[in-house]
Amino acid sequence: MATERESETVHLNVEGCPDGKLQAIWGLGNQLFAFSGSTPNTRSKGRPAENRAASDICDVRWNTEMHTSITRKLVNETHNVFVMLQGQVASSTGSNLQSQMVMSSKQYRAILKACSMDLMHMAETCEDEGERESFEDQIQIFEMIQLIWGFCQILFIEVTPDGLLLNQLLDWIKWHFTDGKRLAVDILHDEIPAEHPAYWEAIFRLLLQGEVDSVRKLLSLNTSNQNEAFLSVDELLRKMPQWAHYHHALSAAEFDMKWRHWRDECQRRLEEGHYVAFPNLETLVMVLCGDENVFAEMKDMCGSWYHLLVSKMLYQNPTVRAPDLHHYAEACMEEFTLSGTRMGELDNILLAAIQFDIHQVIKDSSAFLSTGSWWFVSHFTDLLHHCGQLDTQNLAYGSNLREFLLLEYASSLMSHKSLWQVGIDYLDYCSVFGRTYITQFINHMSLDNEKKAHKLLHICEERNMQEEVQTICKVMGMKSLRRGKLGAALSWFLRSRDVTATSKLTERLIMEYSKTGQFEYTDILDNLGPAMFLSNRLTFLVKYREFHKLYESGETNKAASLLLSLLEARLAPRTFWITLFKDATPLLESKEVIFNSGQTYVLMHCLEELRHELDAKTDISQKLTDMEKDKLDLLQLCLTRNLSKAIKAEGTVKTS
Amino acid sequence: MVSVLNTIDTAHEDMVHDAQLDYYGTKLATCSSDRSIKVFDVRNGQQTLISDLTGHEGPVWQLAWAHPMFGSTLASCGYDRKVIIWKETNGTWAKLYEYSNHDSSVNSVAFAPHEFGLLLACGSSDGTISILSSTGDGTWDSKKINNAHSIGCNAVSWAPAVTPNALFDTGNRPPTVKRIVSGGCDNLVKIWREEDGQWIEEQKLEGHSDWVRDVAWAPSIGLPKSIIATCSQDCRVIIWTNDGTSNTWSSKVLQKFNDVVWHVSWSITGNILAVSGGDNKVSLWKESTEGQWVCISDVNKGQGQISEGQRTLQ
Repeated sequence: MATERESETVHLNVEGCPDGKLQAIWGLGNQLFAFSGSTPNTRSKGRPAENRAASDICDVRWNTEMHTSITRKLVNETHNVFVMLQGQVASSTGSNLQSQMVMSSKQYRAILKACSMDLMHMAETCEDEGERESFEDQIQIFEMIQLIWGFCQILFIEVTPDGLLLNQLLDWIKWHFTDGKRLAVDILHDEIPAEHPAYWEAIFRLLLQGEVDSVRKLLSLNTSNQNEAFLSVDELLRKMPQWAHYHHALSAAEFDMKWRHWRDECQRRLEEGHYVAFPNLETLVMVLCGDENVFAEMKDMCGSWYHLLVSKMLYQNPTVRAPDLHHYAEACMEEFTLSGTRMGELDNILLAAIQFDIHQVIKDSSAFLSTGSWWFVSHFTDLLHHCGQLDTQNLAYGSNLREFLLLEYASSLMSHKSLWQVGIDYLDYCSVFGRTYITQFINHMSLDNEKKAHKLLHICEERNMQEEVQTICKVMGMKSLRRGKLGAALSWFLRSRDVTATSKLTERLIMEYSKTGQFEYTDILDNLGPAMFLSNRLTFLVKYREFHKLYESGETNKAASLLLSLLEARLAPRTFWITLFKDATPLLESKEVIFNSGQTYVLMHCLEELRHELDAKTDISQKLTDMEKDKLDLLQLCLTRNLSKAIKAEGTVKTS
Repeated sequence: MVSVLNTIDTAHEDMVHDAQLDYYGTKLATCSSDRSIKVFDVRNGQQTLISDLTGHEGPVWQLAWAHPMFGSTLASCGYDRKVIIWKETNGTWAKLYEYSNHDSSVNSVAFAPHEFGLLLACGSSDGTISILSSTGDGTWDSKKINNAHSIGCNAVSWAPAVTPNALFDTGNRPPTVKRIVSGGCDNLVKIWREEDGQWIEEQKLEGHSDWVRDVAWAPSIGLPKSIIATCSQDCRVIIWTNDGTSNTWSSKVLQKFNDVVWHVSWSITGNILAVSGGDNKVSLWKESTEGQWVCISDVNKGQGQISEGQRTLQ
C-alpha cells in the first residue's frame, strides 16, 4: 500500500474549472492560489452561477491539520517540549540525557493524549455530521500515532540495561487495549457476577494482559470458588513469578529458572487432570502453560497480532529481548493473515519497528500518517536522532533526515496567521537550511502594522539578520512616507541606515521648515545622537535646530558661530542659504558685535557665492522670489555695517 | 489533506493569462485577454477589487510585482508590444512608465531581486530581452540583448542576489553578479550575465526539443548550488543544477508529462516546484531525502474532507 502511494502522481485538480490550463502561484508555506488559465470567450453577463468558477482563483492549502483550535494547543505545548529538549541535548550527556529523552518522549505522548481526548469530546458534542467525521478521522490517526510512539519508545528510547522489555510491552498493551478492564468493571457491578455472559471472556482478556490480581478477584466471585480446582488455579496465579517484583533482586537467568519451575508446576497439575471438571479453568491453565493451540483460539480476544505477541511472550518467553522479538512476530501476524485479516500500514510500521528498521518506520509514517501534518514524524525523528538511533550522515538532499522533516513541519505552520512564530523556532534548530528558510519566510511576511514589523525585527535582531532588518525598516519607512508620516518615516530610515532615503526625507523636512518656520518632529531631531551623521542633510537639520535653541536661550555668540560653521561647511542645501542669512540678520543688527570681522568676511564670501549662482541662472534662481532677492541686497548692507562695527570694536580692543 | 479556503472571483471578461501575488501575499494582480489588469486585496480571507487598470491595447500576458521597498509597483506586458509599469500612490494606481521599444509581443516580465534596485527584464517575441532600470528620479534606462532567442523569447527569470556560498557568511558581501535565465522558441535555455554594464551570454543549455515555455530560477536555499527549472512544449520539465564551483550545468528530466507544460514556479523556500500543464493539472514536486525529484503524495487526500460550501480537490 505504501509503495503504491509513493509511485502515484498526485494532482491538484480544482473542480469547476472548465477545460483550459490550470495554473498556480505560491503563497506563504504550503499555500497555492490556483486558477484556470482560460476563460471561455463566450462569457457574458447573467450566465449560470456554476460557470462563474472559470474566473475564480482558489486559495488552496495543505498540511493544515495543525491549524485548528484544538491542534493548535498541541503545536504550542509540544513546541515547549521541543525547545527544552534541544537545550538539554546541548547541555547534558550520558544517562542523564537518556532519562531526559524518555521524559520528553512521555511529555509529547501525554500532550498528544490530552489533545486526542479533547477531540473525542468535540466529536461527541459536535452536531455537524461532516465536522464529526473529520474529528473522528483525526482521532483515529492520533490513536495510531500513540500506539506507534509508545512501542518505539520501548524499543529505541527507554531501553533497559538488561534488554528485557516484557513489562513495558505489557503496560503498552494495557494502555491501548482496555476492553478486558471495562468488561471486568461491568461484571463487578452485576448482581451475580459469575453469571454475567462475559464473565469468562473478561477473565481471559485480563489474563492475556497479565492482570493476575484482577483475574483472581473475578475467579473468587465464582460460586465454585471453594472447589479444589479453583483453589489450585488461585495458588498458581498467586505464585506466578513477575519480573516487576524481582528485577532488582534477581538476574534474568535466575528469574528464568524460577519461572520455568513455576510453569512446570502448572504443566504437571494440568496433565494430572486437576481441572477436567472445569473446561474454562483448564483453558486458563493452558494459557499459563503457554500452550500454542490455546493462543490460536484466543487470538480474537487479543484483537491484533501485536497484542497476541505480547501475551505469548508473557507465558512462553518472559525474558525475551528486543532483538529476538521479530522471531516471534511473524508467527503472530500469520495467525491473523491466515484467517483473512488484512495487514495495514499500522501493522507494517510496527513490524518494521520490531525489525529495528527505523528508517522504514519513519518513511511509512511519513507516507501514511503525515497527510494532515508533519507533527508526528518530525518530533519523533528528532527524538530518535538525539537518542543516536539514526545515522547522522547527510543525505543526498543536503541535510539529514531530522532536518528534512523539521523543515516540513515548520513550513506547514507558515501559512497560519499565528503559528508561523512557532515555525521559526523550529527552523532555528535546522543547522543547514534553517537560516535561509527563516530569511525567505521573514522576507515574505506582510508588514500589516507596526506591531507586526516590530515582532519581525525582534526575530531578525535576535538572529543577527542585518539585511532583513534593513529591508523591513526601509519598507516601513516608505510606507510611513507615503502616508505623510514624516517623523515615523525618518526613524525607520535611520534604523535601516539608508542614506539616500534619509537625505531625501530630510530635505522635505527642511523645505517644510522654510515654508512654515516651525520645526516638526523635534522629539526625534533632539534625540538623534550619533545617528545624525548618517547623512549630511540630517546633520545640518539637527545642527540648525540647535542654532535655534541657542538663539532662543540668548546664547547669541554660540548661536552665531554655529550658524557660520553651517554655512562654511556647506552642509545646507543652497536654497536654504537665504533662510540662514535671514537668521543671521538680527545677529548682525544687534548693538554688540557678534560676528567679528573675520566671520563677517566669511559671511560676505558666502553671500557672494550665492549671488554668483543666481546670476548664473541655475535652478535656484527660479526658486527665489524677487522679494527674496531684494532681501539679499539688504543683507549686503547689514554685513557692511557689521564689518565696520567689528573693525572699530576690534581696533579699540587692540589699542587698549 | 488539501482544503480550499476561499475563492476569488476576478470577473475578467476573457481568458486570464496570469495572476501574481505581491511579495507579501496580500495583493493579487490578474491580467487577461480583455486587456485589463485587476488588483485585489486578498488579506484575511477576503477579497476586494482595488483597481482595474487599463492601458494595454491587446491581451495582457504577464505581470510582475516589484519589491515593496519600491512601493506598490507592478509591471505588465502584452501583445501590444508594450511593457507598462504601474504604481500606487495614496491608494490610486497610475501608469508610471511605458516602454514600447519591442517589435513584437512581449511575453514575459520579471523584476530583479531588490538588492539590485528597481530593475526589470522583459522577453519578447522579437527575440530580444530588454533590461529596464529606474534611476530613482523617474527616468528609466534600457539595455537590450539582441537576438537572445531566434523566433522569440518566452520567459525570463532572475538569479537570486545572494552569493550561493553565503550560508554562514553574514558580513557585508560584495555586490553579486546579476544573472538572468531565459527560454525561447529556439528550444534553448540561456543564462546571461552582466559584465561592465553589458549583458553577455554565459551558458546555452540544450535539452528541450520544442519551444521552452517557462523558466524559473530557484531561490537560494543556502547551499552552494544553483537550480533552474524549465518546461517546454515537448511535455518535459528539466531541472538544471550547477554546483557553484564549476561552469557546467547538469540536467535531469523531472518527468515526461502527457501534455504541454506551461508553467513552473518555486515555493518561497525553493523546496517545492509547482508544475502546471495543459492537462488542467498542477502537480507539486520535491527533492526527496535520496536526492530524487518526486511528486509529493500528500495533496490528494482532500476528497470528502472539505465541509460544504468549499470545493473539492481531487
